[in-house]
Amino acid sequence: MAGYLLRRFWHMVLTLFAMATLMFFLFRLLPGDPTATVISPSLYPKAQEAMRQQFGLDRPLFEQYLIYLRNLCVLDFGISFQTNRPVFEMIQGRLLNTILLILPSMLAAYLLGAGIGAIAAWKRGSAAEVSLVFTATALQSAPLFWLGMLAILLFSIKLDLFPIGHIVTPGMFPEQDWRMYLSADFLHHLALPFLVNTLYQLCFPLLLMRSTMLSTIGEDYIELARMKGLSERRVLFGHAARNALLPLATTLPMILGWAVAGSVVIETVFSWPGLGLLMIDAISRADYPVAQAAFLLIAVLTVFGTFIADLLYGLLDPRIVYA
Amino acid sequence: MIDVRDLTKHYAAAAGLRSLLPGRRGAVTRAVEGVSFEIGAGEVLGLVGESGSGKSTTGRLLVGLETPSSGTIRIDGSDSAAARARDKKAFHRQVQMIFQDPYGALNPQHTVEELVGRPLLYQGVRDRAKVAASVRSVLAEVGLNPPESYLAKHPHQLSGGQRQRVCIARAIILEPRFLVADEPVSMLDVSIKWDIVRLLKRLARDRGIAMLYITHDLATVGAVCDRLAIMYRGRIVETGPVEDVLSAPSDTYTRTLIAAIPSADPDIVRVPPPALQQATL
Repeated sequence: MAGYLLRRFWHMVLTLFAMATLMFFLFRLLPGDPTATVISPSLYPKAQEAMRQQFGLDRPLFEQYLIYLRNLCVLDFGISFQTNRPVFEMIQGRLLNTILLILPSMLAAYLLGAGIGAIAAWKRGSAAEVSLVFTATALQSAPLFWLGMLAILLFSIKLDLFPIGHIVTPGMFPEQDWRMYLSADFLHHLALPFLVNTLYQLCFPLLLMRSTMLSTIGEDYIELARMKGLSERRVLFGHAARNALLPLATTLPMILGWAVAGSVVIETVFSWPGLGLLMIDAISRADYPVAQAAFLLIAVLTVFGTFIADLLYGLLDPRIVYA
Repeated sequence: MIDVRDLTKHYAAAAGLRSLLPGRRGAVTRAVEGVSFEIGAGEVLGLVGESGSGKSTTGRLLVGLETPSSGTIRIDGSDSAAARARDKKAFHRQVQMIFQDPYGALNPQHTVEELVGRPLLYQGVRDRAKVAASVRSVLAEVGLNPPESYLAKHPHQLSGGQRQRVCIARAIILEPRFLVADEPVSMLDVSIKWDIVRLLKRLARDRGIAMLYITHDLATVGAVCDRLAIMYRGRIVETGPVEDVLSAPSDTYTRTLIAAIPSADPDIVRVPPPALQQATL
């Protein structure tokens, strides 16, 4: 077990190093010159040169890369080209906003999805189940931004139930004030993106739970549980669902990192000031330090989530032995 | 003890999205067509047939995993469908089953002790010490010795033969009167097969259990069964004492089955009856 952990940890470090390297060079391949946005062409050539030196953009690419790696090791993500504030500070607040939206939404989606999926498998072949599977498949295939826009059109514009976007009503709170998270106004703004995201994310665990449940129902040990004289409900939820939950439970940590990355869409549609929106802004303005840090953060979350999933599997399934 | 009369099971074809459309009727599969037989206490009836002949469905009907389309099953004179509807727990104390695949028949989450002991707990035995003692004695009875060394194991840590013994242990711990064994040795090694077959025979005799032994393998039936019923396309085509059926089969299908038993002696070539030679051409 200790050997496994050590090996797994080493692989994580390697993966993240590869990700960091890839990202550094990828962003520099993107079109758009950061010096053009950061350094105004109307400045004197001498002033431009001074600024290039200040950001280290005058050095060769490989040297820039080494500096970037050295700074990563001490968690220094640099200073934003755009705002001149430390990247670390910028990302902190944005990450909290994203987590407040995505985490409860994903948990709700998984809990509801697993429950509904199990019941769907139980009621297989009924008209309700057939239409549910059809709806879930359709919903999952629909683009998230389109669902979001429809929801805004219906609930915000036509019915006027929810605000159109943003995290709180603009101007109600000073920037970065923690008290806004406790306000009813915040919850009111959270409701619609939360509902849309939950409904969309619900489909995958629902369909997965239904299909794994159907394959466990076919197992002989389910028949055997029936032979104990157990009620059908106890057979399905005690024996079938317990085993069907395995693949689902282990996808959750992996999906979390991916969901943070996926927040780009929902945050853009609802103007939610989270990490996703920050990333879009950073890329469109060639703000390398911010974009790199945001992407790296998502990579860390995903890699770490996969690691948790691996450990979780061993915990949930006695057949798995770490060697 | 077990009295089966005109048992029939028909399945409707599988449904899909199109089944929601009005006026659609699926085709019907006739799995079991008017099957009748009896089994006495301590007697083993072999139900033999090829894949798809309806022998497994018959077994599942007998233990209540399927409901018959028509016909009756009486256990000690009382109707089994009614008994199961009245008290599911009491019914399954009487009637248990052993499955073909010992790898799939045990919930991978549980230990041997839980797998074997839970039926008792669920049937209302509250005394944990008594359950533990029963589990040990049953494990010893099915040949898992010493029982203590198996209690904490999970199914994946056991061999196929050991798993099947666990399956048998959990079936007999409730002291059933009637046991259905659905191809219990078809997935096991030849060397283990005979031990399991003899174990089943001994349990039926010693405990006075009426047993339905379902198989497609005529080679093992001689060792375990008292009587044979040959099934083909949902019907029983021949029935009688084992020796009679094997030595002097009256039905053409039975003769083909017997001709298909592989022989260890290459000089002995069993010839299928001429009628079937014709038919297969």
